[in-house]
Amino acid sequence: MANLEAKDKMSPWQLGLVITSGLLTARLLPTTTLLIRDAQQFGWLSSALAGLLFYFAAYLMIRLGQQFPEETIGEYVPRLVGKTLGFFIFLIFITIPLLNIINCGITITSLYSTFLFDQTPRVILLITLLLTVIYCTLQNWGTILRVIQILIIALPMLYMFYSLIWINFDLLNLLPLWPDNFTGILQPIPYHTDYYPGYEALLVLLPLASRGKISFARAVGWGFLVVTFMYVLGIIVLVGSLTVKTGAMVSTPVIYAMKSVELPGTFIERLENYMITLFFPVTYISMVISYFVVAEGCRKYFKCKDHRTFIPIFLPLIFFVSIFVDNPERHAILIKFSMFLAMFFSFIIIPLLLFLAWRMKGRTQRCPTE
Amino acid sequence: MNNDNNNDNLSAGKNLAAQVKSLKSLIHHARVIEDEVEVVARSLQEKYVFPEAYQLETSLKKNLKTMKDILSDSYDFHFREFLIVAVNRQAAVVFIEGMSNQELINMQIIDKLMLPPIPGREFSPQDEMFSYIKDTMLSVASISKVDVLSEAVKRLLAGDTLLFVDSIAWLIVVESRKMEARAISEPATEINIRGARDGFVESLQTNITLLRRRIKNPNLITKKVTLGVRSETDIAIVYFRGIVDGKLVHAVEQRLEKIKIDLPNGVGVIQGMMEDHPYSPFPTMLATERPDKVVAGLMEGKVAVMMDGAPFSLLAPATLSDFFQTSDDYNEKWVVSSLIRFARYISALLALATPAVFVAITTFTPGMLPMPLAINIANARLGIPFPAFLEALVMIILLEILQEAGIRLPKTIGPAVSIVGGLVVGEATVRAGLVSAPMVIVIAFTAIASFNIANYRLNLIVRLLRVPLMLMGATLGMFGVMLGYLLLVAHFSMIESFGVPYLEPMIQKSARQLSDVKDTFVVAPPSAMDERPAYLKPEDSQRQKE
Repeated sequence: MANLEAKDKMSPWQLGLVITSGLLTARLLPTTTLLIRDAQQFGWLSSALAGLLFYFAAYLMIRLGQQFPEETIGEYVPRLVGKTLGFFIFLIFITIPLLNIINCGITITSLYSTFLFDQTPRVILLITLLLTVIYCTLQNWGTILRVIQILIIALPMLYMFYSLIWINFDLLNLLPLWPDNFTGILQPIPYHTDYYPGYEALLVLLPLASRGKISFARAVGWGFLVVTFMYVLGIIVLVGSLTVKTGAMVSTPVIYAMKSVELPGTFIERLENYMITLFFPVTYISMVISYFVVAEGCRKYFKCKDHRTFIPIFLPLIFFVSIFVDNPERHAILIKFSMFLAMFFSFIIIPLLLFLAWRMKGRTQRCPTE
Repeated sequence: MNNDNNNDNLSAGKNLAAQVKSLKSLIHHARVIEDEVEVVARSLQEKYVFPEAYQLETSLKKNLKTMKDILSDSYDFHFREFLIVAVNRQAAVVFIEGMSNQELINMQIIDKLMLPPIPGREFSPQDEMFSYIKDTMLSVASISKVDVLSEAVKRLLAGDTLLFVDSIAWLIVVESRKMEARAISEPATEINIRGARDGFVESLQTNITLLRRRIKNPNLITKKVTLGVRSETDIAIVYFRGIVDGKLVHAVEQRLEKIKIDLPNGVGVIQGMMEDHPYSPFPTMLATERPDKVVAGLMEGKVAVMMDGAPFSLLAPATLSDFFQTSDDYNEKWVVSSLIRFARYISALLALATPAVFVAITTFTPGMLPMPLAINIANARLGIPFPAFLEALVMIILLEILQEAGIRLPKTIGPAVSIVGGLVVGEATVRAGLVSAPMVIVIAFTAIASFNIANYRLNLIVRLLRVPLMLMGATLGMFGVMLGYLLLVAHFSMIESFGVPYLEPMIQKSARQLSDVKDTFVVAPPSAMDERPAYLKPEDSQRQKE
């Protein structure tokens, strides 16, 4: 029987949900140290500004996608900038989600190795994690969408769990209330590529969304608003419970804050372990979306029938890079590289492409016979 | 000389013995050949019969011989020749003993046909034979004229009586089915407290009656199809016209048509051949023996498939949430029902994961437990010769054996086995130091949680998946358990039932369909259930109208 629903189409609010669920990953855990170190008590302000900025980038991507409905970036970029440059831009585009998968994989397996698990080699954890991601990515978009919709439940659960650190909150830790170092607030904004990763998926997912009553920009905007609110509140409570000094010193302040929560008389202890467990599905969603975006983007670029063709192709690359990054120094370099690439793509390439798209459209309107 | 004689006698004896031996061998071979010849002869005699290959003749004798050939002198096949006095023709009734109403045959067919004609209504050559017999002689409710022998044979094997009349090349079929059937009783596998007490039986007709008794509406449609190349089993497709999506009915019909099988020995076979994902352990059609459940499904826009000889009906499509619903949920106050429904989901989750989580935590991350508890568990495990995984596996195997024994044994012995198994064996294994007491508690809790799963098939699957999840927990700790859960979620998302995603209505495409969630994790008040589930695409979405 033919499926009674359009398998690969999603509503605008589902698109918003997908982008939102892709934003929150375990990647933010090590970066929080840098954020607190630079912005100190005003990390929340930095996160709020970053949220605005990254939503602006997402908005530009939506506008760019709307210039070429039913097409992904790989299809229209060669028309805008030529074949060679187009290929180069497409390569940058697919590198960003690939780096997201690698970063997520490294972070989550390191967390497990460090906090939950110290016997099995990280390679084994990585292989099993990647295989699980692949199993999901090999399905059609409708199936992946359902996986995302069910696993998103972990997000509020994670946040509720995280809220337990309010127990140690002390308002004095947030003083002074007025910043005297505005540069310090702006400085960590680029680090927020770890807080807001994966919205580049819009450039591939837009053709899969059907137009509804709510616009794409608004649906995605709501997602960014929710996540930004979660981050702002999260950083306030984190600094309030840890102090800036401690937060800037430890490698994963969120885990550290969770560790210091003690619930007397309760059955569960070592709450950070449960939080890491909850980070797992949340990060998994982002990995699946990123892998699908890479495969679907390639399918459209190379005009293939099925996105599944490209999934095994990238697996060795992801695996070997992840294995190569086996110490914190290499990981820091990888994070920096990912950050620069994402910023360059979002704030240089995308505006340029949008400008070119507008210009091309203007020309076509002036000379409709061309 | 004597020696020569002795030697001659000896050789003669040897020759004789050899001859006797060869004679015995010959006799043995002859017997084998005789047996084989008999088998060949029998197989030549008893070839598979295609009733379509036979035709009705005008001669009664020939027709009866044909019937004998087709039914191969089966002992339950009977015929009785007599004279139809009114038309002065030889006739015969043919029926199957045990399937037909012999009282009706005696009193309403043979008796009536042997009576002299009604004065003033004698048979004349201008009269049409069938009309004459129907109007003036047979006092039965349903009779029909059949001129194709294969159709007549089909009706005969369904319990009807065939009336052959000499010199005509058609016959009369009198509906006279009367088969012994089990009385309607409470469903054994779906016990309810406040729900209806009647369950389906093995008779298709009775089962359809149970539905009609609840829905007195001409739009309840029952379509009959025949399945089984050799068994010709009756299957009914039941739906409610005006509610059901036409595409769904068409899909069910198409899938049934595609089934080519000798004999559908139970609805499970049909289910296996109709389902979207036959290799997935999760069922995508709901088998139930409760008529109230089928009626509720029909009213939502589902299609039921019923089979003659099976006390279970299949409902399609079926999603995961359907397996957590019981009839009692709608007979209790919605708050209570919601709590119970939610408890069922939690139970399924616990029944699946508790041993895996326990193994993962005790093996890799005992720090997740409070210190006194972790120490207690460690103390209890001192001296246990197996790792936690093997310990759990042994207990799970023991549990499975006990559960299976409890089901297969007679009802009077079953509970005794459970008590012996649960109390005596459990206690003895702990005392013998084979398993630790905490593990016994975990497995016992798992078993109780699995009993809370409303559907038996889902219960079986949870039992099945418990072991691989435990294996993942034993090899990769909590990381493995999480991986297992993610794989399970991905698998759930992949499955569809007749085009409907398995996770419907828990996962919605748009906010407009959110009202479907009213009957998933919780049960909404009856007045709030004013719409049929949107994922079934019903023609009429309103349940409660002004």
